[in-house]
Amino acid sequence: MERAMEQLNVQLSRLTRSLRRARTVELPEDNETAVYTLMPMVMADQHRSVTELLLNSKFDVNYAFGRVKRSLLHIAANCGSVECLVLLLKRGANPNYQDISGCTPLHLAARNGQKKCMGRLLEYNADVNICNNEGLTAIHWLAVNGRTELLHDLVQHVTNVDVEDAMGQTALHVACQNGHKTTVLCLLDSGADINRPNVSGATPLYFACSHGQRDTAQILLSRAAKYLPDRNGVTPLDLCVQGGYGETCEILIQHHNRLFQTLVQMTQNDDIKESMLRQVLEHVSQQSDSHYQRILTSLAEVATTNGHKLLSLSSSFEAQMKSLLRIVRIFCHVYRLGPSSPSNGNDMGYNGNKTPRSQVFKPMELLWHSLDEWLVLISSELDRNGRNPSSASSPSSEIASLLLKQREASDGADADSDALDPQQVIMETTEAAYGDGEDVISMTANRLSAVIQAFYMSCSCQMPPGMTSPRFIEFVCKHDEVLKCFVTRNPKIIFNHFHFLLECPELMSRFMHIIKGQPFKERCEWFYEHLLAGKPDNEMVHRPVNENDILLIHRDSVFRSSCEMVSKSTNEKLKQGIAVRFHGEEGMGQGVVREWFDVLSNEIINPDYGLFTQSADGTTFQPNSNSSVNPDHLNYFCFAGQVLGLALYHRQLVNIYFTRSFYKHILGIPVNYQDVASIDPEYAKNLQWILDNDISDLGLELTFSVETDVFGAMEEVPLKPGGTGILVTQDNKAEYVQLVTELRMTRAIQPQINAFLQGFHTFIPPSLIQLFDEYELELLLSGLPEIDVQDWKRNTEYTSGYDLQEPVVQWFWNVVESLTQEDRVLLLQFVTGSSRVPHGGFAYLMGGSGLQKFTIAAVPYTSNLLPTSSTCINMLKLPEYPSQEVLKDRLLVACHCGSYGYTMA
Amino acid sequence: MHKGAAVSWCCSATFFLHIVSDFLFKFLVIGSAGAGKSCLLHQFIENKFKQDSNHTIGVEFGSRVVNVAGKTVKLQIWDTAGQERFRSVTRSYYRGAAGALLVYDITSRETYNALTNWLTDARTLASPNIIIILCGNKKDLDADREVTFLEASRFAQENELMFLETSALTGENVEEGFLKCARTILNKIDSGELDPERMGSGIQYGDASLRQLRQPRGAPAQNKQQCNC
Repeated sequence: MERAMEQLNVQLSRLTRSLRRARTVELPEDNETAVYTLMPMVMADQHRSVTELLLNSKFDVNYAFGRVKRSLLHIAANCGSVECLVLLLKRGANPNYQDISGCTPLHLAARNGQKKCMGRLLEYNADVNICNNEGLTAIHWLAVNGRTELLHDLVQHVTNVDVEDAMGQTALHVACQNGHKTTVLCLLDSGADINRPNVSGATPLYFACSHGQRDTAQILLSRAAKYLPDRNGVTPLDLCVQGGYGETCEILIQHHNRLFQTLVQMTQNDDIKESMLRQVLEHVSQQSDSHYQRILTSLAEVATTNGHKLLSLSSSFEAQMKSLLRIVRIFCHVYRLGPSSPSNGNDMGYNGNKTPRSQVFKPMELLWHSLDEWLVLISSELDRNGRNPSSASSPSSEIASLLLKQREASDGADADSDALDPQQVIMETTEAAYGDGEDVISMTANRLSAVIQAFYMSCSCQMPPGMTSPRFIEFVCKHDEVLKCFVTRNPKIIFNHFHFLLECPELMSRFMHIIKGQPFKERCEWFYEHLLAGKPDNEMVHRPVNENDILLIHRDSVFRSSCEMVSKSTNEKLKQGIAVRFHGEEGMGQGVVREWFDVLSNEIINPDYGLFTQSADGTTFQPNSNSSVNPDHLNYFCFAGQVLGLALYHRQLVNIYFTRSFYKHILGIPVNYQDVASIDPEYAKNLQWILDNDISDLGLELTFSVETDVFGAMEEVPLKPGGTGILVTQDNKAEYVQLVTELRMTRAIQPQINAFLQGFHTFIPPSLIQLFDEYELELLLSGLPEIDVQDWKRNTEYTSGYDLQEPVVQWFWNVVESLTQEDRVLLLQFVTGSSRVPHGGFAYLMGGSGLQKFTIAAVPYTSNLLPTSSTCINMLKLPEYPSQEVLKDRLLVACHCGSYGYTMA
Repeated sequence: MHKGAAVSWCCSATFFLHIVSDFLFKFLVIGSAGAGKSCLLHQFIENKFKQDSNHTIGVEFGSRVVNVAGKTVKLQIWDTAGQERFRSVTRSYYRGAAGALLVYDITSRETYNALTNWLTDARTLASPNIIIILCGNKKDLDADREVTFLEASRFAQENELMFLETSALTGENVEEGFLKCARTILNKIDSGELDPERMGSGIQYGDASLRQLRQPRGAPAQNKQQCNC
């Protein structure tokens, strides 16, 4: 009974104690449960509680638990619970107990920098030399995290400071890659091997370089670390360049002067990222004037050697070309940066001598000299062939050029497969070709053109932006004949190498006819390639949109608010990207941008603003000569030009179609009297009549002047100075027609055109847009017209026995529904002669004499009969086909063959 | 096979594979058309005779690393066209050459007679100090010989040239020709007569500081992760 009472008391007191402390006061018997009771106390270093709990328990202090099988001593060491740690050690915890990964408590203390714990562990004879499963020791852990002070204490107990982990890495390796300067110094002072390679041959310097640890590299080099590559031959310099670590490179070069040359030579290596290498070279060049000079001179030398290799016919064209252009590109970048102290030799020195800065170009003169000699040689070969025309078309040269094409194809392919030995192909090509001047030309054209490209780059980097070097212009003029011969034979050369044309209008005109002869698609690619070449941040496609850069548009005043927003923004920002949000709406992104261009272009031609007028056919627009009713009209024209330019820049289509003559104005092409038809077809006929007939005896009494109606007042406007007194005669009528045409089409709207172009050219340089003709420009700006089939169907009439219920008619509409947009355009063009739906829809389709709806007429069917059309009355003569399939087939044949063919790529 | 295919690509070195050499010498191969210049180069680089050689167009390029007097030297060799029509083009490659092989055909008096012109070109356009070795090629065609050894060696002596008779067909003396020229240049560097640091010397220091034992095995370096638990 008493016993029972006693037990109850004990339990009671335990209960109160437990309740008071809000925890259990007796350790469970089972180790697993006990350890989880103790763990939180150890982590919080509640040593009194732990002492109490351990006091009468049979708990095994070395009990390993959890996934990684750690003891409580590990926990204490890890968390820095020094009191608990001592307690556990006193109770016999094994200081060298290893968890599942082989880590001892000392490892964990070292890793987390638990200084006191480390000290106590050492007092209890913890072994500093134990490796974990990865071979890491306590000093590795200290080195990783740069705990120099602790390392300093610990390293004295270490038998081998160069102890290796499983990868052969010492503490010094890991300290170096993490750039812990004092740790590195401490290890070196403790006798660590400065040149120790790991299993892959990487030394401490290698690691410092691979991570761009400039100061660490400096320490190592100043202590005479050797410059060693790893087992794969990767050098510390390679690593610096790979990472773009200019400062570390600079330090390497300071200590190993020869690496300077190696660095420059790296420009020949296709596998190195150009931007990184450039970054490094730029940094090094900025260290001193002599560095700047030396890098550029060396680059110029390397460029020359590469250029000469490129001109060796047996070298790989692709590889050498890329190499040369890369080197010259880097050269130009570094050159433009200028020397670190710009005061030093920027301009002409004493006695008009060129200062050292331009001296850096000198080594390249050798290459340009060779280029010149080559072109002279080609020119004399051309003369020879000219004297002996039979050789120009000799079969052997055709074979050679055929083989050359083959080789070009294989040049492109051999990157992917080793199936073709390029050298083999080259040999065959040249074998068939030797000895003939013609072949010298075809074999060298590409190579010389690439060198010309490099020459242009080098010339223009000495010029202010936007100016063409007179030397280069002179060069092109000198070799005009040869260059034209190159591009005539292989027009691709223009797109691949003659980029200078786009920057030099004076040179462009020489090649224009050849360029215009190239497929639209290729010109398009060239156009965008160059348009976007100067775009900032070209590589970053998805930039986060800055809230301030969003164009906030009010739907009820789209035109005005857009104008306001666009004028507030900068051209650079608008080039980078457009973000539009309509006021009070959430939507953003490309869809909204598209909608904006769509809505805005409709607004631009809104008659309320009086900026543009409809042309005679009702589908196209041109500037209104009377737009000045709106006092701000020229600003608005400028804005309209900006919108169109911006749309083209970002490949957005606008919903406006202009007259041919206005497209010509945008392109800077002169208009002719036929363009008048778009605004005044009757008048155009009259002009045509004057040209077609002898006007000598008609007594027209025309002078070189016209009467114009300016807001109701008639004014006599001379076509040329003193024009009112000059009679139009049979002899000068052509001039008269041209002048009235210009008056009607251009002079009347010259201020509007100029303002529009001013806006347009802020985004689209004139030199680029002239790659296209007026038809192509329309396609670029507005794309294919949308055709609304329902609208079409609603505004169609039937005749000669057809009506909407006829199966053939129903089939016809089924077929139209199934056609692609392109085919619908073709069909429309086939029947109406125009690819355009009138503004306002099919209800406004015009015929020869006023409104004329689309009409379908029945024709008796005979085998293979194709549909025909009468474009002047918009009539499709559709045979009564036996089935929808036959109808579709015949219709498509007719459209594809019968129409002019829509001018598209 | 076409002329000028005797080429090894210094540019095709894979990433990280450095050309290990103490020096880089720029060499020329000059002489009249048909003397066998391209065949000499092909033999030197490929150790093979080139059949059906065609006339070189312009200038071809080849390179080889050789060991001379304990030094590793990379020879950058420009093989020029001998035909007159390429003369102005090939001349533009002369500048900065350290050495030249002046080649004639022992079976062709004409190629021998042109030597003076070639020599003048080399000395005026490349450098007055250019090291030139005279090579009487086609030694294997002794039966058709038009130029005697004695006559040519006298010419060489008068013009301070080294002299060898070579055969691109058999390979006789081909390697020697190039090596002899390289050795002479090295000697002049050692004696201080030539200064590799001077621009346009046709000599560059190589990458010798990188020369190390290279074992093929070895995994790419692994970086240790930091632990932050």
